[in-house]
Amino acid sequence: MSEDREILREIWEGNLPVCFTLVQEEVEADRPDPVSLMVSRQTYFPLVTDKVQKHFSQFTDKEKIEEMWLEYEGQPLKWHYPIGVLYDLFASADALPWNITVHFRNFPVEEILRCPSKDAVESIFMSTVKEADALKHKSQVINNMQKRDHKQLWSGLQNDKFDQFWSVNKKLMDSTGEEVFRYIPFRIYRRDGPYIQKLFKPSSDDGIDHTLADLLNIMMIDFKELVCGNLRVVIQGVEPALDTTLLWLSQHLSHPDNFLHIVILSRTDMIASNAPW
Amino acid sequence: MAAGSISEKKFAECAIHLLEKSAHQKDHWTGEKSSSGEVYLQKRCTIPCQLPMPTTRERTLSDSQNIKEPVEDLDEAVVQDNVSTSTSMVTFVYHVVYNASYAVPVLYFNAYKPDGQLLSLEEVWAIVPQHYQDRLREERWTFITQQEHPILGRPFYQLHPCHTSTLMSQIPDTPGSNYLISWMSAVGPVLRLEMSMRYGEII
Repeated sequence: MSEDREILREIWEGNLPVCFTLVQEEVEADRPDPVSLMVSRQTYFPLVTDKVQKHFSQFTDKEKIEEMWLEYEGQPLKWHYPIGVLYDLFASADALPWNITVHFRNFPVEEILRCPSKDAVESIFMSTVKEADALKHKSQVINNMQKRDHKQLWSGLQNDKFDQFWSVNKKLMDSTGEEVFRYIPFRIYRRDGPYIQKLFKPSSDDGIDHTLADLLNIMMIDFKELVCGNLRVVIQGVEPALDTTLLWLSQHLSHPDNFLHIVILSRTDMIASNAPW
Repeated sequence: MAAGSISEKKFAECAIHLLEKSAHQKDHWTGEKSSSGEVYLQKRCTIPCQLPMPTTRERTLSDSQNIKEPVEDLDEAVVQDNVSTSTSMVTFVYHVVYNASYAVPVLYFNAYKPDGQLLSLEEVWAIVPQHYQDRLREERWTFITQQEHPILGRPFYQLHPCHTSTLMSQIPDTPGSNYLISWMSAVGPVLRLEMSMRYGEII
């Protein structure tokens, strides 16, 4: 995998400019200035929004303040998805910076998870890494790691340290025996409905490598729409060729949680946000 | 299948068997199907629970601006025996969903107060029976947490599945035994889900 280290680094360094604004109804007196941040696509909002929380909480009624949550064009943002996935799914057709609205009231309990502390983020992140390794190596790699390796994965992500993270993560991306991965950890997102996650092997029974097209075809993404160009398939902000080997994608374009997050956008998704196609 | 795990087909068979037993003794398990055709089991029941009373100290701590003490303090406060509690009727909605990654069933649930308010994670931890509290204290964030329901896409509390196959490999698989019933009898009590002895009867 070493020859592709540059790709891993490029992916890791993917950033997004985000502009946060407090929702108008919660402004007490003076309208606060927006907060602009450059955030990593790989991380999670609660890990980078302490400053946002501190800033805006001064401008709203202290008595009514609840846990902060974020919204984009009416869509509450699930903090447990990597930031890049949320952007690709909901905002990638719109102009940058990404304008996000901040709320401190009416937490949408039926839609997004509570985030009482950074422990909740670590818990979600580590349980996703563990699930990915259950799929890839029957949990053998993650279970053979020391606790400090687990901590290193987490702190590498939290502190945006590529080398620290990858020195442990490369073990999760390697093979343990003859087969590289048992199954490819992936999730397919569309704007409507929950994500799709199923078992999918990296190659067919007769040993032919599966491609991105094979996966989408079997997961019943409308293939005709796909080849006609009516659907966009976005991973880590890029649109990989559909004949790219799935295993390669898994090893290079997965998020730090070790899942390949695939966003499918239809033409109507793009029109709705007034974007040039 | 590796020891302690279960195939999706076997899961479905065990689920049908469990539903028959449930109907036979007028328990309330139902089989549910999502719009995309995935199936899961559901049971709803209301149980009196001791919930911790909100204290001013907790309120201050939950406001992340004012956290001055280490977070461990919050954990301690919730599970200490001397925290004042009040009895409340809590409505539980349990879901049993098949997890293909681990090849095991997973227990999801939401719990609501009489006014319809969802129990917070601290309140959920507090209603875990006393003799599981030691384990909970050690493994707080890898035991019960809030997760996205894999079929419904909404927040649900989840009993983490990563130790299920280890647990189930220690339970002997005798002829006529039902994996789901054995598993639920073992893990259900952690979340106040009691399985009647009558599930052991042959029908």
